[in-house]
Amino acid sequence: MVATPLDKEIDRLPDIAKREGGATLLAGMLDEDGEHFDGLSIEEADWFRGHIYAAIALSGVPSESLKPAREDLRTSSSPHVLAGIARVLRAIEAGAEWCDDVEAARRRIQFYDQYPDFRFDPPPSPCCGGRTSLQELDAALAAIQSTGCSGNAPAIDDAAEFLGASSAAFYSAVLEDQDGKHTTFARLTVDRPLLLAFFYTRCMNPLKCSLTISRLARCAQAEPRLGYVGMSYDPEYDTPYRLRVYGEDRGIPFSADTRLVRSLEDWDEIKGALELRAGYGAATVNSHAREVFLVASDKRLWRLPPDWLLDAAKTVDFCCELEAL
Amino acid sequence: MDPKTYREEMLAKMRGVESLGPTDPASEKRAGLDDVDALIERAKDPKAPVQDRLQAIEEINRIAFDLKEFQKHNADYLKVLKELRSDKSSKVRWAAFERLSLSMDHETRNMLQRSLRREGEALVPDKMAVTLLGMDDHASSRDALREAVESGDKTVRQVALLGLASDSRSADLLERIATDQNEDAEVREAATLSLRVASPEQFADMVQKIAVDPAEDNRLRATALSSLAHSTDALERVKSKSFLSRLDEVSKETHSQALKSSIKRLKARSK
Repeated sequence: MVATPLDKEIDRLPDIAKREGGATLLAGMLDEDGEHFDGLSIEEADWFRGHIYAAIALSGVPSESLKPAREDLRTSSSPHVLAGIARVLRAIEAGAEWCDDVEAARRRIQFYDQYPDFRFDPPPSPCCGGRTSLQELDAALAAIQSTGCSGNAPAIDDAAEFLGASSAAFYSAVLEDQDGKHTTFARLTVDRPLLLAFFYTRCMNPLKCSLTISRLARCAQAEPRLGYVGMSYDPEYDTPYRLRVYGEDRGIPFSADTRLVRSLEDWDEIKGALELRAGYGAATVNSHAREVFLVASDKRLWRLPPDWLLDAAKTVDFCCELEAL
Repeated sequence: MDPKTYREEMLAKMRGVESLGPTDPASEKRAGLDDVDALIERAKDPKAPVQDRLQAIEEINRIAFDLKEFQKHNADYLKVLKELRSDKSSKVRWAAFERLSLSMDHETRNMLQRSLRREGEALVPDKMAVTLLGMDDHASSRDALREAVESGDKTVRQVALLGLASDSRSADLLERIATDQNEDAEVREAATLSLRVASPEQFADMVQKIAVDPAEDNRLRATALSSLAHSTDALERVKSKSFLSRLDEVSKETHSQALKSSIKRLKARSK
């Protein structure tokens, strides 16, 4: 088999893991918008990501890698990614608080199990073969269960991150909504703060975009004091019609304060201002985090934990603390 | 009942025969989950007749349709298929590529791209490679598909154009081919159908031009209008009353029944 440029990149990971500070470097490579993910397909990005986790397991696992590991464990359907995380969990001798998430990940891939075939693994012995992804998760689970399962998985990160004040260019970027009407963040935040969530309509992972927009819909139905916008990572493909159908299917109560939008010409400005964690392949998104933001009327920006979409009251309380409401 | 048997029985009934009846008593017993290990061994066996090996793969694919039942075999089956990608029998190789591509196996898709680019030996026919690479909502193999569009083979070009539907950034290429009167009509048709998905806006604009152009190929005009009628996204962009009334004139002037039908359909859908 001919080694591709991606294979060669992957083959470097164990050396990085052995270097001083290498583990932290590897944790940084998990950012979905990293240049090393540019141009890859979704499957290649997952393959690479799985190897990054497996390499992290070879090093002293840095704490920075645990947040993305928890998020991926809760949302990824990739056997490669989940097998890599399973190795990280064994390496850190993960505690009971990981139990539920590992079991959920196991259920997610049980019908699609495969051998992760990590490139830097020694060749499997003829007698026993290597472990499949499911077996990697089972091994991690067995290690965790030896200490008992708490059944009480924590929120990934419960703190909002202040991103500073948005630029004038961000604030006046032209957005097109599901009806083809044009607007801006300036107009959308005139009299209320805006809860901004990202998605794209052809995302294949039901635990990411589809769930995000369904949750945004529930927030919009429950709490009228905020504005709600779902914004596409894939503005060229997500036409107003596609946005409308996607939102209708997920219960978005479209109104002047609740819309799905795409950027028309200022996408780079928006990506930069929000430091979006989305990578792009040849034609569209290849990997992305779940991303939710608060845009206040006075232009301040916060990155919010994605699970805040489970309860709009949490964002409202936060806005009250900030005196943004 | 598997689709093949069902089809055979239905065809037999249509011919007025009650039932084909099993000619071989052994064929009455369908392979089941307990047979998977033996089937995998048969598929792998280079000494077994190719037809038997293909039948084994087909049987496994049928059993694998029940994900829950098949789960304990999935990893091993995928591993065997990866080995079969370099099998000496082209037919066995093709069957492996087909199944792995549908699973979006990235390594398989890279091999298909290399095969298309003649980097190493051609593992599957170009048309098959392009078809399998085109089955991807995220158009990850866009560059390979674009290169195939520039190739000389008509059927390869058609399939590659269809695969580019999910790449909005290929809209200009699709429009160029769709509107090029020097191009083959069926190639233009494939480009037109893909443009509808890649850019409903450019598609709507293009259809409004070619539909009223008497110099255009009637079949292409009919296809484009029918396609427009079934694309709510694009149809929303066709607001011009003058275009719709111009179509009435086209309908009166043309002798093409297909074009007349397409115009009628579009007018009914745009009300």
